[in-house]
Amino acid sequence: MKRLLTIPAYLWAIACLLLIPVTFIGNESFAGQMAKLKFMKVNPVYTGGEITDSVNEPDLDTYIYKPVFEALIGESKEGFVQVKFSSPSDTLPEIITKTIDYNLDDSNDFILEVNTATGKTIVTSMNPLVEDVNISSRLKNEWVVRVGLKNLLK
Amino acid sequence: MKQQKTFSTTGSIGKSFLWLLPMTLLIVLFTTGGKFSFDDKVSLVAFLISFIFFNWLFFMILYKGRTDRYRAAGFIILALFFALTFIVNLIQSRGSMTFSNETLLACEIPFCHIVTTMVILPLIFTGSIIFPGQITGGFAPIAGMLVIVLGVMLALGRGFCSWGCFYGGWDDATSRILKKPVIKKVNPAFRWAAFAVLIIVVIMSAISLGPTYCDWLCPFKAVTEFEKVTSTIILMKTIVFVSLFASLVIILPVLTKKRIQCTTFCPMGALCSLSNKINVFDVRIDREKCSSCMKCTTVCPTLSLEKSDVEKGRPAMTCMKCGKCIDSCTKNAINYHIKGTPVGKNLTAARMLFIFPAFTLLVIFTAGTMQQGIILLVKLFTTGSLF
Amino acid sequence: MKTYYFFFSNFTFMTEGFLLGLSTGVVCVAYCGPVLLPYLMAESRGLKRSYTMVAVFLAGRLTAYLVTALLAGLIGQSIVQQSDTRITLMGIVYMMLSALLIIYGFNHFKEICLGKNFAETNYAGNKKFPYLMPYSGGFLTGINICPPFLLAITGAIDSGSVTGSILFFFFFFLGTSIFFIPMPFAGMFKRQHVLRIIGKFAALIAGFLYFYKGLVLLIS
Repeated sequence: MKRLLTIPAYLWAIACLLLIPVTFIGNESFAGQMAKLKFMKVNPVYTGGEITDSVNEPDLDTYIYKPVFEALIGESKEGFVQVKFSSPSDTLPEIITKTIDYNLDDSNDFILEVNTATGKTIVTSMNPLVEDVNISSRLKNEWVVRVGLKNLLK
Repeated sequence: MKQQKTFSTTGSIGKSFLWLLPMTLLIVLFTTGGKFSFDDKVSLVAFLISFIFFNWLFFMILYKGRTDRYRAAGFIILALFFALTFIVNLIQSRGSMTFSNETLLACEIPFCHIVTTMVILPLIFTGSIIFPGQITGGFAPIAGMLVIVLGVMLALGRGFCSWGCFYGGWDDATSRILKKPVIKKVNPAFRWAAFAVLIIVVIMSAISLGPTYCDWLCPFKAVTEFEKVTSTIILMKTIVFVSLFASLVIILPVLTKKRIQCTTFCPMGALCSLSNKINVFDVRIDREKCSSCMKCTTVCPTLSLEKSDVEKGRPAMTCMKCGKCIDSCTKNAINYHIKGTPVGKNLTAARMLFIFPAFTLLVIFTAGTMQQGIILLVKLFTTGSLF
Repeated sequence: MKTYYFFFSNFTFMTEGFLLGLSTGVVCVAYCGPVLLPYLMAESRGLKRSYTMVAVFLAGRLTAYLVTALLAGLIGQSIVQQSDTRITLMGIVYMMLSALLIIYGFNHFKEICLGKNFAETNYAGNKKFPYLMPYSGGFLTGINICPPFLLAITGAIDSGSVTGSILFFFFFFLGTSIFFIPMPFAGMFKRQHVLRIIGKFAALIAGFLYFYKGLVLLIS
């Protein structure tokens, strides 16, 4: 019996010996396959979620994202909505003032004022669910603002 | 030290060279990346240095019959050069070692292997990765790193911590500074501390949907990248990781001659310990040869060997397979072993089957980093600047 | 960025309660299990009876937890109504409890299991009321004042409502109970000293993290 075990044991060890170079040589291919799996996506807490609406103007494009209330199970009681400003000419205006309807119910929820030179961002809430600015930052040639929200369902 | 019989390479130059040949081919493959062309003379010199270095290291492992000191040489160089090249690349691309909200929003943070512990539970529940990184593309993408972690854990178990981890070389180096420990007795119970860290960071990360260890605890931010200090909270975090680096990576390893950070605080180490249970390679003590001198228990850098383990004939599951206990044993009672095979038999085969993949891993991680590091150092000496 | 919500930015009562129970349940079973197990095994015949005893024991624990949850929820509703006071109060409470948790982690004192003595009691009514002793034992272990339990109370108070508090404690109970499931299998306790060590280290680390949480609340 003991002798019977030694053969698969050695075979397993040889397989491990080969596994190391194979893992690295084939890393790009394996990673590519793994990336196609459904769960291989970064959580919206980091990506900001999906774009639900956009407003295109001659000097400024505004992208409104779906509110993010990510939790391990269900939804959290607090989250955020991401708004991105982008300029077709790659140069953002110094002062951006925009009224945002994040939940697309035809009523304005907050006013964003962004000074892209200093980074100062003010949010004026018109909806009790809207809280304060979480993040306001340049992202390459764009500007991203995340505004805190309370979850209606909680 | 008498090794076993015909296939042993110890003391035999011819046999050592013979066994070196297949490794030489692997070294060429991984030091050149499959392309035998160099940008300039400095790159060629860097390649030659790394090529000779790795061949020499492996030859000495074979010829001398000792593993740990030569493994440690490569392992420490990996840690030092990784930090050097990583920091220089960061400064060249971002201007500093810090990352800001912009880097987080762009999801450009490299995926470190330690993050693996924190993404598993949220991955199951939310079907997404709770890390601001790239799935593919860029440096250390998420998918690529997960493939590597999975492959290496399957192949070597916790051997990863001694042959591949680019952080472990730090406390491996500091634990070798003094000849004798100042703190002679370290409670072996501390070997279980890393499991507590693992439990807590897994739970906290799942609750907060953020990598808690990276955010609050990782001492190696001191030699890679860290958050730009723009608030009191971030200042607190900075104080925490600098203190942890100073205490767990430098001071305590110097005083105890143990790899304190890896043993007591690394959640990835704890996860890899669990993978030791399913890994085919382990370390065993031949009780017939063992004289119970307990020298192995004093040299083990991870507290994996205490008296009860010696009596059982195997180290605890926290064993990193570094080879230090094997090298210290005067009776040749401790050796690498393949599960399912008799203990104390076919020692050379077991050793070869382990050190080949282990050393290959070391070469893969170190080669490119070492060459880049040499190029940077040449640049520093010739131009006075690393950039 | 709102630092108060940064640390537990996606908190849900159920998840946190469950995971807190999971992280500290190791300690619960490591200390109370070996004391209670001999009684449970002595009274039981076969695996089915053992599991019945464990279930009754757990029912006692659940009762204790729900009573505590009710009290904690009422405190949470009444005392912590004002937002600013709440944040400061919770910050202080978290810091105090984290200090307790850290002392618990460092200390070598023997954990006093409240249910310990009942196992040694030769209760005359055992035959008439066979489930009374395991139920009582469960209840007593459920109100065992140890730092993880106190942390759970804090989390429950933080929820600010009775419902939230009950949910929190129910899932905390589930988290701790997982470790009691293998109890009828005696082999589980070969490594109970390892569980104890891990539990103490976990308490230490959790203590430091909750200390930071408390500090973050105070600073913000």
